[in-house]
Amino acid sequence: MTMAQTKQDISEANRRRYDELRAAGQELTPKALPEPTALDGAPIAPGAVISREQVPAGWYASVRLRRGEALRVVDDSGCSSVSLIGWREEETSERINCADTAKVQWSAAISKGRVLLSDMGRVVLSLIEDTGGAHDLLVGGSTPASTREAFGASTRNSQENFLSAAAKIGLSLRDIPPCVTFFAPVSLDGKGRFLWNSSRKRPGDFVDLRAEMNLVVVLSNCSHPLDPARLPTSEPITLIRHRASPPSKDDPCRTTSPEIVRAFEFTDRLFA
Amino acid sequence: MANRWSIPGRSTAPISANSCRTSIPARTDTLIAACDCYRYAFLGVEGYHDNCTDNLFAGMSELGLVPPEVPSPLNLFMNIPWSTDGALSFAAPPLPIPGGYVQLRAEMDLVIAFSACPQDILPINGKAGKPVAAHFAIAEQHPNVGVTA
Repeated sequence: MTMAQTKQDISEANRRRYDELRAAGQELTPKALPEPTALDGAPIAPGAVISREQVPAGWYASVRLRRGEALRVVDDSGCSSVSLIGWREEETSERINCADTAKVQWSAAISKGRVLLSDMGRVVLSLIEDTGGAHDLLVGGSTPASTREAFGASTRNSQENFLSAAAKIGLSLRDIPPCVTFFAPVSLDGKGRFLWNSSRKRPGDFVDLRAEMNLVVVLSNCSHPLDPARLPTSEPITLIRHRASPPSKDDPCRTTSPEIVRAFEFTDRLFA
Repeated sequence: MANRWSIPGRSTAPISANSCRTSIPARTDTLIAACDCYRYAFLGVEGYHDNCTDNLFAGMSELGLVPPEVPSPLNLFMNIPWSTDGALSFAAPPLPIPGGYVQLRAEMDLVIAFSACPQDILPINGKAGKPVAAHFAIAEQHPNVGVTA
């Protein structure tokens, strides 16, 4: 048997196995994503709150989350955008990966029921509550150049906030992955141009992010570079770290697709 | 913007000509990450499967370079349809343009790695699932060399 035939055999076996797995996956009822959370929905029991802080406009916060804890991020004014990066606490070479997040879920739109994946095939955070469902995985946060363009002068920006936060835990430029930005209603038109949908932002919009591994996350409260309001964000955001209910067997985030079920299997092994 | 910066505020290699002999623009994807061993595990592969992440690391290592990561690459000739609700798909085959090419002009000294996608499970290389060879050439600095469209 030649090498070429062997390779082809392996390839065909892989393909058969994938087709079987896909068929098995498709026998399951396709899971619709859950409805958005109401603005006054999902109250946090007072006893579940671990800590609460406000992040002023232009500034950032680093938060350590244990697996099973959740972070509520609240856009109190309806005019903030919050950029987020994160690393696994025990091994910071594992970090949030926006491109894999879009690829594995077949969608660049993240909303309640979706997850953020790491570069190592595991789940970093689950969106267990989300009122608006209008977030940005593609564009990235503000930079010195984007603030000069928007405001005529370099202002505080997410890129430099991330560098400062990284430096405090011994990390640097090369440790900073592309970020996800919450409350940033970015979409694309048919020609690939970015659009900003202002009507999808409301005061009090929030997300609850459940940590699926022990994490250090950094949140930067800076205007999104595409926000046409062209105002340096003038309002603080609220962060509430709290104990989330343990996920049920049919937890929406853990069961959306066979690939996500596997991503959670790989994640759970870290803690088995 | 942050999700594509390398050194802040600089672009690395803008596409200076995107053309082909049939004058239909080649499709290029900017969204999808390179497959890696984790991706193939999601697809149910047991054991090793060639993947672009490892290929790109291997290409760099031939030059004695050890990059800290393989960033999300530019995917030449890859066709990822986007719908307005944000959904992506691999269902469409690549738009086959035999002899199609993309010309990139280096705007700084660069080391570039190429990987001819070895994906034979999903239909991104066509429904037959047969990866094919691609070729590259380094041209002398000449702004219009080879441009036909």
